[in-house]
Amino acid sequence: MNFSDVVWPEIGQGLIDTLVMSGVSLVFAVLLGLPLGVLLFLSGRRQLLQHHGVHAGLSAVVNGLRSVPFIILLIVMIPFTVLLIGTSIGVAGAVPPLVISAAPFYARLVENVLREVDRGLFDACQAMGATTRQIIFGALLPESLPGLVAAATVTGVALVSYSAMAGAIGGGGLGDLAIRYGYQRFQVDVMVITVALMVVLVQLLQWAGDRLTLHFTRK
Amino acid sequence: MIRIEQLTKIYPGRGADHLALDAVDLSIDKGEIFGIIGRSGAGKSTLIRCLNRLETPSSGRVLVDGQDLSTLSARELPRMRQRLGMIFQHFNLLHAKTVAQNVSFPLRLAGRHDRDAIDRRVDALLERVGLSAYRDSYPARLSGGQKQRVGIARALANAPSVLLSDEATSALDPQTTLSILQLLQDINRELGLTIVLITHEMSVIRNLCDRVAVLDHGRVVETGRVADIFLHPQHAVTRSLLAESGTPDEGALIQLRQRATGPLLRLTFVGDTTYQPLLSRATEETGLRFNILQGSVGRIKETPYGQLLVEAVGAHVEIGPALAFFTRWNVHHEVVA
Repeated sequence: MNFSDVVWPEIGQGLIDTLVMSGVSLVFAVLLGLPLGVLLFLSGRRQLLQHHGVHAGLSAVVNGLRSVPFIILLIVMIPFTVLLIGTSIGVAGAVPPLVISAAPFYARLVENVLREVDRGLFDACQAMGATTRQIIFGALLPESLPGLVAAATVTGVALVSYSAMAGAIGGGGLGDLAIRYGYQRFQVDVMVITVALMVVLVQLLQWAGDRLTLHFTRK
Repeated sequence: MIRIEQLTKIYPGRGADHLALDAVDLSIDKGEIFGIIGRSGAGKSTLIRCLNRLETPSSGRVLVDGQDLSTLSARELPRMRQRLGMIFQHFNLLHAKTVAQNVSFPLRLAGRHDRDAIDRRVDALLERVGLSAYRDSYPARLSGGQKQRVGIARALANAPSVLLSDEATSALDPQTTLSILQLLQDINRELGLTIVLITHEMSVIRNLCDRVAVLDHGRVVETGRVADIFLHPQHAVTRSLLAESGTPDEGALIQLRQRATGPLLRLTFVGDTTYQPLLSRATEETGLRFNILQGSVGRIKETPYGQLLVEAVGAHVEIGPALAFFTRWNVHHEVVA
């Protein structure tokens, strides 16, 4: 292991690919997962839009998607991914399965975060004459913003490690490098570098997430 | 102002249903401070939450200014609620918003967007509750009393005609409680605001309310002017609530009765008669002397009162003239056998 055979430009490209895959997936996971989580919460027992059927249906979808191992999801989704963006390989091909895997995960976290909001706040808002929409956007989401950011951080960290797995089916990124060089060609140096980069990436992500959470905390 | 007719609320339970309110009838006048007292579980929280339909009654009606709340549509209900401010035991402030944003929140909900007008209104409200210096603080930085002041300012933002108070002082220390009660009284006077409050503390009723209803197991067991209920409680629940707040109770009376030799009289002075040396005069006029066994003197809202348990002592105790004397001076009297 002398690092002399390491193709640094490829490492650099792998890092960028990982960042793009995780970043783009996180954005879409939050865009899909947030409304899904809010709906899960609101349709729950004794909540503002209580509806047993809707809640049970959403819950089943979320559980179903979360119970499929990611590596299987990657393969199962290939036809859908091709249909959606024309390819199932490379960075672009990795995004749809990552989003489909992370969105329900984030939705469940969101539901848990929203449950922590004091019910008294809803009483107060209703007593002030707020409509359900006003309660959601004026109180529920702003009050739980720190928790929502923390949940997005957890999802982001999960996406970094899942994006590495996406390398297994030719997704690109650090995981792809680790498998091709480290596993298939026994280049331990590449393996060490990619793992080290992932560790640093996750640390940075968690640190930034914690800072942001703290920034929004008013308690 | 507010009429409650045959209001009943049943919570379905696993085994038996729970009857939280049982055919409650009440009428609350414009501009008065009306208290509802009862133990926990008596149904008072359910009752006040029916007044702005945070709870939907199982049967019966709530009329505000003649308008039946149950007939309001989903669009009309928020407008009606803006006319009924509400404050809470745990304040229920929005932690992510500053004091000023909390107070302006109901204004924005009501569709007001003129920023200058909102700012002026918020400043005036904060000035009224004495929190101008905390305009841009977050609620987490405030004490309990300050939080409740924000709650009050917020409840008043849309200039409601009624303020509903759900145990607003129950989480506060005695000193802070008094200052909040004073604020509520000032608001009631200045704005002519009708206040409906629920509490489990008799002292709140005594300091603030004009009329009171005593609630027990979902039923109104007694209702009337506060002075009457305090000085002449009729129902056992009222008596026990009074006893807990330091008013002499029946148990002590039995002991006193055993030791006393002469007849016992319970005398109740209200208003002007409290300023007269009436026991001395009674002695001069009737020759009887009075031994004070028990007593409480104080104020109910603004009215001074005194209630004494006295033993009439003398060589030949003839109580008739004494009773006539007290009747003449408008002192409520009762011979305690």
